[in-house]
Amino acid sequence: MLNIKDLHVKLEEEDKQILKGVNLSVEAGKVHAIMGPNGSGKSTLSYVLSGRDGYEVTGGTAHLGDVDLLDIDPEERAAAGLFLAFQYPVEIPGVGNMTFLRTAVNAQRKARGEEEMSAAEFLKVVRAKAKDAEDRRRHAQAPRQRRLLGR
Amino acid sequence: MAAPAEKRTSLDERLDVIAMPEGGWSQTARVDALARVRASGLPDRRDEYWKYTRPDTLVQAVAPSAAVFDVEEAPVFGTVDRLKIVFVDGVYDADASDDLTLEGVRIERLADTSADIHWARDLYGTLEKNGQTPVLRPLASLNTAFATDGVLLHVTGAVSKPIALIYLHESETSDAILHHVVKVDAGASVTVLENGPAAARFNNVMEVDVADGAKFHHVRAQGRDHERRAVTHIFARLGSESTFKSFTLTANGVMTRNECIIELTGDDSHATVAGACVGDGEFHHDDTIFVTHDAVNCESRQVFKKVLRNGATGVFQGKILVKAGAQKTDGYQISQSLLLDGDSQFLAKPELEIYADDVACSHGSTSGAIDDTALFYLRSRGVPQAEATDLLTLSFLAEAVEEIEGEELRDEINARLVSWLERRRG
Repeated sequence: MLNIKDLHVKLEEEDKQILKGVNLSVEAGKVHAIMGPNGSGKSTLSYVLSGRDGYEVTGGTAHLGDVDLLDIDPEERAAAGLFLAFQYPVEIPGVGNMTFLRTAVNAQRKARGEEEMSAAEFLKVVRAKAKDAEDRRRHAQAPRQRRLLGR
Repeated sequence: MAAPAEKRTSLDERLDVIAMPEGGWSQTARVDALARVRASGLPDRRDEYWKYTRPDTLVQAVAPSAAVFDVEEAPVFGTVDRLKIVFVDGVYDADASDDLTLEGVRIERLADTSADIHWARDLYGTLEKNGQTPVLRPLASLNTAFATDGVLLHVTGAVSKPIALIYLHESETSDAILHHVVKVDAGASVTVLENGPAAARFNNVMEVDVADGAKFHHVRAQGRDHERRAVTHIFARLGSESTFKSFTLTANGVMTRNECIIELTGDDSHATVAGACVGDGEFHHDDTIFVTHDAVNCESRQVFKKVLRNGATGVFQGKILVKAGAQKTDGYQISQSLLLDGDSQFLAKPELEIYADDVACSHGSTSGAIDDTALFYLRSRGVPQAEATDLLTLSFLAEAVEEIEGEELRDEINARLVSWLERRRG
C-alpha cells in the first residue's frame, strides 16, 4: 500500500540532510508505529509524505498504491487517502468546526468526482455519526459500570 | 484668522467652485464652519495628520472623474427589512425612497429649510466643531458649510427596523457633500445602515448624539466602484450608560479616508468602532480614529482588519485619549493587516495618551502573511490552496465582522466578503 524507497530529504532553507535513505513498506490494514529519539526525522517523514513546504526530496520515491505522492499537492495526497493527524490540531479562529469539516469533506468529494453536500445534508451525516459514536461509547462502558456497581 | 499662506491657493480654488446652499436654520452653523475652513486651510501632504494619505484628490477644486461601476450582484442589505432613503450622486431621490415615516423616529431632510428644526440646530456643526481639537479636520468643516442635503433623525423610541441610507453613483463627475445628524433620546435605540459608492467624490459627515441609556448601531458598506473617492467623518458624543457601535466594510475604491471621532462624556458608556477592508491593486484605505474618554468606567473598542494585495495600501491611525478623571477606563485597540504579497503595505500609528491612573488600555498592531501551518493543515485535509487561503482570510476578518450586532447584518457583510474573494479567485 504505502511504499517508501531510499528516501533522502534535506531542509530547503539550510543544507541539512534529515532523512538518509528511508525504506518502508506498509501493507493495507496494517498498523505501524515509528519510534525514535528526538530529531531522528519522524515528523520530517510524515511532513514530507503529506507535502508540507520547507523540505526538499533529494532522492528516493514514495507511493501510496499507484499514486506517486511526491509528485502532487498536499490536497491531492489527502484525496488519495493520506491523512496526517497533527500533534497539536490547528485552531482557525472565526471558522466554525462545521464549516471547516464540510469544506474539507466537500473538497474530497469534489476530488473524487462526487457531488458536494449541502449544509443540511452534512449536518444529518454528522448527527448520525455522533449518535453512532455515542452508542458505542455507552456500549463499551456498560461492562465497566456493571463491575463498578458490583453486579 | 487666515489660512497658512501655502494653503491659501488650494483653499481659494476649492471655495471658488462651490456655493453655500440656502441654509435656513443651519445658516449660522454653516457660516461659522466656513470661518473655520478659512482659518485652517485644507489638508495638504505636509500635515502630520495626513502623513500616510495624500489628500490632493480629496481637496482639489474639481473631483477627479470616476467611472460608474456596473455591479452585477444584488445590493448590500437588499434582503434586510429596512426604511430606504436614496441619494443619487448626493441628490435625494423621492421616488426610490420609502415614505419617511417610522415609529420611534422623526425623519427630516437637511435640504428642507422651511421648517425650523430646533433639535438639529443645536447639533448641526456642533459635534464637528468639538472634534476640531486637538486635531484639525478641515474637510469636515467644509462639509458643514457646504452640505447640500442629508437626513436628520430624531430617535425617540426603539425604532423597529434599520434606517438605510443608500448612495447611488450615476455621474462620472459628481462631487457630493452630505451631512447627517442623528439624535438618539434617552433610552431610545436605532440602527442606521449606509451603502453605496455615492459619487465620483463623496464627502460625508454624520453627527451622532447618543443620550443617556440610548443605543446607536451603524453598519456601512462603502460602494465597490473602483475609481470612487470618499472622505467620511463620524462625530459621536455618548451620554452615560449609552452604546455606540459602528462597523464599516470597504472593498474597492481608489481612495477612502474614514474618520471616527468619539467622545465618551457619560459614565459607564460603551463605544465600538470596527472595520474590515479588502483591497486589491490601486487601493488606498485610511481609518483614522480618535476616542476620548472623559467619564468614569467607560469602555471603548477599535477593531480593524485589512486584507491587502497587488500593491494596495492600508492605513490605520487610532488614538485613545484618557482624560484626567476618566478612571476605570477600559480601552482596547487592535489593527491588523494580512498582506497577501510583497507589494502591498500597511501603515499603522496606534496612539495612547493617558492622564488617569486607574485605567486598562491595550493596543496591538500586526502585519503578516497567511499562516503557513494553518494553510498546510487545511490542505492536508484536502482543501485546495486557493480555497484554504480564502478560508483563512475570512477567519482573519472575522474578529472585526463579529463586532456587528445581529446575525442578519453579519451574514450580509460576510456574504460580500465571500463574493469578493471568489471574484479574485476567478
